[in-house]
Amino acid sequence: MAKSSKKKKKKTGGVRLYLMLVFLAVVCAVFLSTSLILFIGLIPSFVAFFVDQSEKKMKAVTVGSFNAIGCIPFVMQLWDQGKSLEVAMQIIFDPMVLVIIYSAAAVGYLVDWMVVSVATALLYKKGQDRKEAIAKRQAQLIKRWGDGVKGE
Amino acid sequence: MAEDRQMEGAVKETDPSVKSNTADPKGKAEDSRAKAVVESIDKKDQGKSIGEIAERAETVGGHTALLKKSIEIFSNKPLPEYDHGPNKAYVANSTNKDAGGGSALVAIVCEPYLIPRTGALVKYTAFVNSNIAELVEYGVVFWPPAQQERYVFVYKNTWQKPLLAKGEMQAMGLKPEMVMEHILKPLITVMRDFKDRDFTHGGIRPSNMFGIIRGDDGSIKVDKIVLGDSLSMPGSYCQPALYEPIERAMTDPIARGLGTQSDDLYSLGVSLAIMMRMNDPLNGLSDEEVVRKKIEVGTYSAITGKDRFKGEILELLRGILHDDPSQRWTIDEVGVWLDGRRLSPKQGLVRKKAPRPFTFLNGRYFILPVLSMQLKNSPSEVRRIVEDDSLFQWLERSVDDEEALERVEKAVYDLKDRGGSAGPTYQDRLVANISSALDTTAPLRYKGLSVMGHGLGTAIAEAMVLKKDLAPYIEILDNNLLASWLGFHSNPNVDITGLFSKSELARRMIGNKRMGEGIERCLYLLSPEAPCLSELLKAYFVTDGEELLYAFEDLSSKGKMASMYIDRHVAAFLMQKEAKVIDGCLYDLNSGEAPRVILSNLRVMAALQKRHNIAALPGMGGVFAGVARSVCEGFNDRETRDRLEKELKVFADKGDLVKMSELLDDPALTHKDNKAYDAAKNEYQALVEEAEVVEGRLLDKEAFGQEMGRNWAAIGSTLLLTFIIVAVALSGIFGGTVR
Repeated sequence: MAKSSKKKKKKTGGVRLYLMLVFLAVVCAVFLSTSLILFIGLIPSFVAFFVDQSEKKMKAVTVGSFNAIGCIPFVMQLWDQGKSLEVAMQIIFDPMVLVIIYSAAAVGYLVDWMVVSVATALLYKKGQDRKEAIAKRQAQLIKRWGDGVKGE
Repeated sequence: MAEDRQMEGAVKETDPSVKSNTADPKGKAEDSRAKAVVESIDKKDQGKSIGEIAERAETVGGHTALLKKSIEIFSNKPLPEYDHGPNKAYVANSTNKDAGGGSALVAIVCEPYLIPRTGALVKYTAFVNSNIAELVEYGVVFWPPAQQERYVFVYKNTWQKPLLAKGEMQAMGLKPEMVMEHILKPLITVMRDFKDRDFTHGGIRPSNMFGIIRGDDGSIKVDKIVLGDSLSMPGSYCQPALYEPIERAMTDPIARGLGTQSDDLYSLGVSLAIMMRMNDPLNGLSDEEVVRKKIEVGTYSAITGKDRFKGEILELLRGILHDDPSQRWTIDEVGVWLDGRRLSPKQGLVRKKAPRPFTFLNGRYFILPVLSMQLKNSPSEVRRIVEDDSLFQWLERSVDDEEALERVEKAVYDLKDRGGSAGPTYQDRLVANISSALDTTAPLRYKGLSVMGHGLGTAIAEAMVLKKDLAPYIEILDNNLLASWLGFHSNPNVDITGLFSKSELARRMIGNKRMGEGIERCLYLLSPEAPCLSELLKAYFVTDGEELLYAFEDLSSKGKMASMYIDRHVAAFLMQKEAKVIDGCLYDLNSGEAPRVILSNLRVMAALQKRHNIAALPGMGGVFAGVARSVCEGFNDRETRDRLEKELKVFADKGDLVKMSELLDDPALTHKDNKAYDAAKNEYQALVEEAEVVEGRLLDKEAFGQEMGRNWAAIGSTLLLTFIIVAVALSGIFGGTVR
């Protein structure tokens, strides 16, 4: 029974992914020029996604967000100039554009590194404080209740 | 005479007062001792009013003991002619007109191993008869020579000389008419009073009768006969075997128990005979020989010997000296005789005599009671005569007494049935059972002891005080020998039923080694008048819970309490006297765990303080406060412990044991403490687990907080992206740049 429900779930998940891919393919086909810019522009995000070994892939999210921010002006430019495939190719193969978009991704890496560093420092200090507080409380408990409170 | 020698010997060994009287020089030693006495009384009376204490203390001197604030007893003024056995007599003086003030008084000071008959005081004080020693006061005093408390009886000294002085021949040769008029008639009124109040004297003999005046020519004139003390010792303790009926004469003096009025009449009969006879046919005989003579020829013949009395006196003596208690004259019959009605003379007890003797230890015996007396001399020989059937054959063929044969068979069968014929005490138990079966009025004979059921308690008390071997008494109770003895006993005047239930109770207690049971409990069960014989209370005479508290308070305030208050004796004493205050604490007292023992001690003493409404016991409070730390340590919370110790100190200073007990013995506080302790343990455990997690994470400083930092960065960047998209979308919608 449990096996069959698991199979069913897996099946449902596969179908959903398949539907999404179909939907994405349809969207890409409809917005081919925009998709081109995004596909090439978001390469650092894809790389970050595959490189990030963490479960939640938060680093990829940060890099991807900044990478996407870098893509937005050029997508807007494409939409302003008629959304054609030629324009899209013109824009995306402009080295300056690529530098800007990939630099935005690099900012994402930078932000991730900075925030992680700051958070580590702060939380480590907090951890040490907590460790001291625990020891202090334990000492108080032993003083009031004796060694028996350790439950040994 | 024999008894006098015996008593004097005992006194020399045990009575420190005798030594003190002769050895103590006057002077500074007296003053310092007097001061100590005053101080001890002061301490003991802390619960009483200051006025009372001061009054009592002022009148106490080095040789003077003070009884009930008004009677001084002078330990340096002995009255040896009024000594009652080992109990010495002293001059006393009263300042209270209602308590013999202005009269000469004599105080009889009880030895610690002789339990005074305090239970008979109510009856005795009700007598209004000038021929009975007039009891002025009684109670416990601090006795300076012994530096101990002693029980004292103070009588009005109208006694003059005793009829028979120590060492005099037991044949006074008085004229029968004088004896009748001046001795018998007054004493019969006394005996009637005794009967009316169901009192037994137990000390009727010429040396305990006073009131004669001796002329220069040796002539004796009886002024006014007064019967002396009988309360200061167990019943009949001082009676020589001569004055006691055969069965009681066979018994150890300390173990005779309280006799009956019939026994008193017998003693009176012997006394009358001795007053009137010219010769002493029993002179020089030992107690055992006297008894044997009485058995063989009957008391009357044994005592009167060659003396011949006139008809009416003969009739009286034969009546009241009858060896069968059921045939002996009663006081009513004596009254009828006194009124002039002549009764037919009683024939002496005819004992069954075997035609052929039984040989035992080279002796030849024809009469069962005499043989019964001898069995104790060789238990192994008793075993032999039982196992080779010679005793049974003699009983069957020579004595021709089927009842005796059945009894002896039952005695042997019961013993085998109960414990088999094994064990180190078998032979002695055999002696006890067979001697009781052969002579159904005889005492219980076991390992050199001869005890009556009612006298077992006083005998155990004596053995305890004099540090004698208690094993025979324990074995008597443990092996149910008392019940067996009662099964054979045929004296109609002995309360068999009451003793049966007591013996069963005692048997159950003796097998229990716990505090509050054992031989100590049996002592207080069998001898309700016994004071508490705890080693702690050696210097005190404690008869109830209130006195117990005062004694402990005195000890505590002098710093003499090295251990806790309740030992085996105190526990047994309280179980018998005030079971309610100790019953619930026995489990803890027997636990052996110091905190529980201390707390149960406090509980018991607090209950006594409350029960007897005693205001303050600061000495005991101090002792408990000193040892209460281990009780406080029973609480887990140090803060609670500290608070309790502070509060205990306050109550200890006030001497309020009740509050101290309530403080330490609070179930709600204990519950709260335990609950909080459990919570603290849980908290500690949670902290340990958290500390492990934190420490684990702190080990890798680089990774510490990385995930959270990454989350923050992701959230921030996503928000920024969302904001920009929304801004671009909005500018497109409202700015028209998006087509």
